[in-house]
Amino acid sequence: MKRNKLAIVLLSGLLLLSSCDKWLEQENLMGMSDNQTYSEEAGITSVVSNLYSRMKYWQDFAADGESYDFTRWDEASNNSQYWAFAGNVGTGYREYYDYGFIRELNLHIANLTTISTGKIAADKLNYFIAEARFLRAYNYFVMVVQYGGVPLITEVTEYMDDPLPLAVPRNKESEIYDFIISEMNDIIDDLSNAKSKTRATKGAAMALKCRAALYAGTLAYNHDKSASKTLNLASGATGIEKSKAENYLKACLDAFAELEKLGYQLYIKNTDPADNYYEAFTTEQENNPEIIFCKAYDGVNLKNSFTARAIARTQTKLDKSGAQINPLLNLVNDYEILNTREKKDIDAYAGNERIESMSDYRSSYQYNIYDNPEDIFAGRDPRLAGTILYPGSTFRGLPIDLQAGLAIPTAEGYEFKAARTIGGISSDRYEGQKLTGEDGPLCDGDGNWYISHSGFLLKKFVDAAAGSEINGASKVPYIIFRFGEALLNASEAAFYLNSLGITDYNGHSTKTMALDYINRVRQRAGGDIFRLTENELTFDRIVNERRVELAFEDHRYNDLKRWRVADEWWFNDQQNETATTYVLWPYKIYAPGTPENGKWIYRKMKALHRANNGILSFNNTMYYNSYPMNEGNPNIEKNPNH
Amino acid sequence: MKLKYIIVTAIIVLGVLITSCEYDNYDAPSYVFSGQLKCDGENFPFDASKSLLRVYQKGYGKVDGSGIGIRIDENGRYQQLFFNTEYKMTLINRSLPFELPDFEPLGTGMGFDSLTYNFTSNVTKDFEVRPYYKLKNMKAELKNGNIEATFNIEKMTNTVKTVPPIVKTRIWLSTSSLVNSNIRCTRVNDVEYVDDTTLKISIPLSEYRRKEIFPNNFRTYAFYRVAIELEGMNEYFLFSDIQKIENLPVD
Repeated sequence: MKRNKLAIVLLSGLLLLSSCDKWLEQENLMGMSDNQTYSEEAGITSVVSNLYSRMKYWQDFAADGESYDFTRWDEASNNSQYWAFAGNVGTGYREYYDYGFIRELNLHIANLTTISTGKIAADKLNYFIAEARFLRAYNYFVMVVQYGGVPLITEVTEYMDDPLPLAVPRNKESEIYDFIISEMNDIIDDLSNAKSKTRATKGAAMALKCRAALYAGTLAYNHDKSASKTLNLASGATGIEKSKAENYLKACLDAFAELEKLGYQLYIKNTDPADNYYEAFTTEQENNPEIIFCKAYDGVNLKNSFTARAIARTQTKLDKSGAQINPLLNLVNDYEILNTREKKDIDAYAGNERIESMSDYRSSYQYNIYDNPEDIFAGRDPRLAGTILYPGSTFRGLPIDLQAGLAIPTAEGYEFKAARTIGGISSDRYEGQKLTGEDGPLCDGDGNWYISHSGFLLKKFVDAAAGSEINGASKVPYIIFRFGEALLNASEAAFYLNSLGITDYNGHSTKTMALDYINRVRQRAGGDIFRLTENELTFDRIVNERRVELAFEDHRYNDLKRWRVADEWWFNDQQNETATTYVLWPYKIYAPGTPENGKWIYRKMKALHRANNGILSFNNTMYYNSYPMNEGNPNIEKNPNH
Repeated sequence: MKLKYIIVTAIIVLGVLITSCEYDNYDAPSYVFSGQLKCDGENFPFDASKSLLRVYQKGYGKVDGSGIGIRIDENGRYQQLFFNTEYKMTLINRSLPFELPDFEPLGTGMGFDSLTYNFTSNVTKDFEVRPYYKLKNMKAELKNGNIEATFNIEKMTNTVKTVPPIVKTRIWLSTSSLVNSNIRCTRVNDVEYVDDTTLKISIPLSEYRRKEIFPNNFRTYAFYRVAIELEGMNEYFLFSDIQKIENLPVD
């Protein structure tokens, strides 16, 4: 009995006095702990590659998988069978408020500074931290462009029972831009000099600083215009004081100077300027001195299906693909005449310009007659031929077959004969003559998709390599920052500084700098004759230069927003010329025995396969998105005009 | 045996009929809020395609966005069902060419103050509208292939803000009597004065016959409506009433 009692006492003592908290713990063999991941380079790199894959590029070839955003505004319309999804938008456009991602970036930086210190070589570790700060700053840039000031969170927050201290108000819009610029300044020494185009480098940081500083400077420069549209909030959550313009614009020029020192240049390898401009976007990043930062596609693991979407109907063998992106006449009109540098609309009519209707098959208007279909586009900025395929163009060595129909002269004018459906293209004939070309353009109608609707097709970014449209095999990179954009950013910043009366920057005249930078872009585009004189450099020239040089590179929407003109040029009104989308249809004259036979005329019409009656829509509620309100955070204020 | 089956079936059928689904535990809204926009005792003609009165209900997590709209028809009449709960009613935060004294403005671009309604019975409430201009005596005739409308305007003096000038006039033609700013058959012109208080605007009849707007439109009549656009207010206009023009030629 005594022994049993002793045993019981000893056993219970053993149970009570020993600690067995570790006994129930098991190691997680399915994943890696923070300690394991951040102790070796391979672990960090795997986390970083995931972070890069979550970066937000709105018109990235893979992210904008049907090119709805690509064809949203006044550059092109969409002609897939879902073309209506590329229609007008409202205050919910481009919603991106991902603080989950911000938290993970902050966590990554925190882990690098705590766990990895001592286990990874110092210079590599500094690079990883700088790279993460670049990614985080880029994300804040995407948010500030859409929402204005947002809460600036740079530390990891822990769980707390009462989350009220976490309910922070919005930071000022200028504070977010200041953060981006100061972060880029801080990290530049830790970023590598390596010419990798797909990871953060000094060039990428300076290119982001150049763009962000220009955007902030423009908002400050346009402060009064914003006030007249009631866009400035008293707290500063939106709107930047005019007094800050000078520093931002100078920061933009500083960043550009760094890019020059790093050796980035415009791509000039082909003597033909149109081909050169086209190749500047399809040449892979290793051989392209103009690309600063891009997302690379290898066509095998990361597939690029943009070519399949955009290529002409006659050059794709795939069903339901091709010709989804139809450049509009609005863009084509903006390419200047090469020798005179003047802006002139495409000359289709002898006399007053008309706007015709696709359902009118008779016309009594006077047209200009052209011997060849491409003659109407002759003598223009070579970037037109490098960006857009028009009637008479070739691609991959094959001719593009753009023909709307036949124009048969009548007593009053012309009668037009065209196919009404895609099936009719191969079967409908008039006296043995083909009516509509295999590449279009066709009128609207069920099934009239994947063919040109505007009379144009896209060339920029479309891969000339045979077979690259199959299974996403194109290797064309998605360019995020390039030197040409930096030149135009710097030109605009210098132009604004000059307008503000700040005529000197580091011993150079801002006026001359503005002219010089824009002329470097124009010289690459069209040669010496295309350079502007000092008198010719106006704000409108800068607007137009960005329009044609940066076409389809996701700048148009942001530019019109920061210039505070979007609600004028794109105001949804039946009679607003600049908000109306137009097409230009080519017709071949059929009049055997007359000298006009086989020549070409063109008709200007309103686009129909363009949602919402072909008229864009932007009002002053769309300068800043609807701010995601939350009943749990009473300190957040709404965006203006909402 | 048979009785057993009958009883079991009866119980099952009764069970289905008598019990109600737990998820359907809200009553349908049943209180009618109705009324009329009035200007000096007369009905205020309104652009039915735009929203004006917005209603917010707190407590359901939706405090962003612009709440629920109350639909107002062409004659300024509204009639809507609501639940038995508290709502806050306000005006839409845009530049309006009229003032409603019931809703106080909170500052430029900041919107309007709200009224609180707690519906326990049907409510009829007319809102008084004070437009900056009144449109009267509209008539139209066909001249040289154009439908030309003339109308009188009266500048009002009972508004808080100063009356902005008129910058444009607009006209719409439609095949039905529901004419609003969404109708695609429209013209907008710079304002054209016939005399100090009479304005004129015209629209070609060919626009009414265009196939993209009204297909196969061989009607000899049209409904028309005009509006004036004030400076700085490019979304909301002041409308006339709707009238019909007849004996239109069909060629």
